[in-house]
Amino acid sequence: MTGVEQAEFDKLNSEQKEEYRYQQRKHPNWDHKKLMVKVGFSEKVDEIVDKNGGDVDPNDRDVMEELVKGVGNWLKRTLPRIWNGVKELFSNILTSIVNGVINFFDEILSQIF
Amino acid sequence: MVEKKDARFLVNQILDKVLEKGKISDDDKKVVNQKIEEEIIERPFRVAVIGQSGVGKSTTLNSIFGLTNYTSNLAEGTSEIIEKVFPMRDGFNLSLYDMPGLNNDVDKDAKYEEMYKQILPGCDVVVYVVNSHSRDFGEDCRILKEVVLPICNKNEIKDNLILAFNKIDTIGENIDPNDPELKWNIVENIPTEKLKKAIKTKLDDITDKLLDEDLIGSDEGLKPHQVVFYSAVFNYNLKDFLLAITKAGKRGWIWPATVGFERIGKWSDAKIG
Repeated sequence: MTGVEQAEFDKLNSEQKEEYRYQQRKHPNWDHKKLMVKVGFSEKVDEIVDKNGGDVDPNDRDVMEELVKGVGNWLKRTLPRIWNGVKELFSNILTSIVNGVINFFDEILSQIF
Repeated sequence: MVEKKDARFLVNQILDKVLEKGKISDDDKKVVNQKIEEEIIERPFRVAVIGQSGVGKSTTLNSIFGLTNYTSNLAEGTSEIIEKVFPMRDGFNLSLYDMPGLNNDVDKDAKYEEMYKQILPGCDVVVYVVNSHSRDFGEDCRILKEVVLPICNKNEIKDNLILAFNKIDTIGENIDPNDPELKWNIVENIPTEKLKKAIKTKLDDITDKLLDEDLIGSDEGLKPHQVVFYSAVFNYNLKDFLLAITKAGKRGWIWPATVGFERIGKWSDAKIG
């Protein structure tokens, strides 16, 4: 393991480390990157079977974050001069979403502004 | 002053507020509104869906893109893929290419491969649908590695690709069709406890295979978020699908920023296809 890989491994919680070592024994030919991806997928699979189905929540934080990033990147590519005037606002919105300050788009539109 | 008609989609609302707060001039606001109009109205959101017959392309399209009663009925040996345009809302259009999967038929596959080369580079999202309960998806892995990914890499659209494993609800039925404990709990719309274990085992096998084949976990392969497991019929785990669309390429965000949230997962009761 390289120093960078070791640092990544150290950031895993105990269950993830256990899963990493288990997968390493099971797949000795896999490199660190693959093992990390597998650890992520193992968690994802657990989430998939343990959550209920149903309609997508329009206030989903992960989707909101990616959507705002997408709009920001579009503005940056299309109109860089205008982007420079508002990039900090986009950054603030993203921080608020990630930190859980904003739960709903309505709140983005009403409270932040 | 921003005209009301420009504030119809979520993206317009976000931009209006940001521009206002950023004290952007009225002239520049007009420029932004003109550009976003060009981006989302004058150009449709183009989606290609690839998959063998029976993998659930129709239910996927109905669930994810809200195409009420859309049915995929590609003729055997289809030689031409027609762009189908679906008006979504207020001038925003979804453009769909429903494409057959390759099937070990030298003549047809060569023709289909040519179609992929022509059509995929112009698409904002390319969805490759696979049956989760397939005993062996080695052929899909081969097609992805030898045909689809090279086209995507060559045209720098690998980020637009979504590998969609549908029908996770039927994984149990393929183990023992007579075991009620392996059937989907329709009342609560969740897998039974026994089915949960079966799904975990199957998805574990699938991800092992994808890693062994370098389809994920390698520089040439897909990023983890580009692989989604779901049930289109039961609207199950569509959030991961919506997230994958949102992250896709340069234009994936347009779907949730326009009508995505309103459309996704609303129509699966139709169970088309």
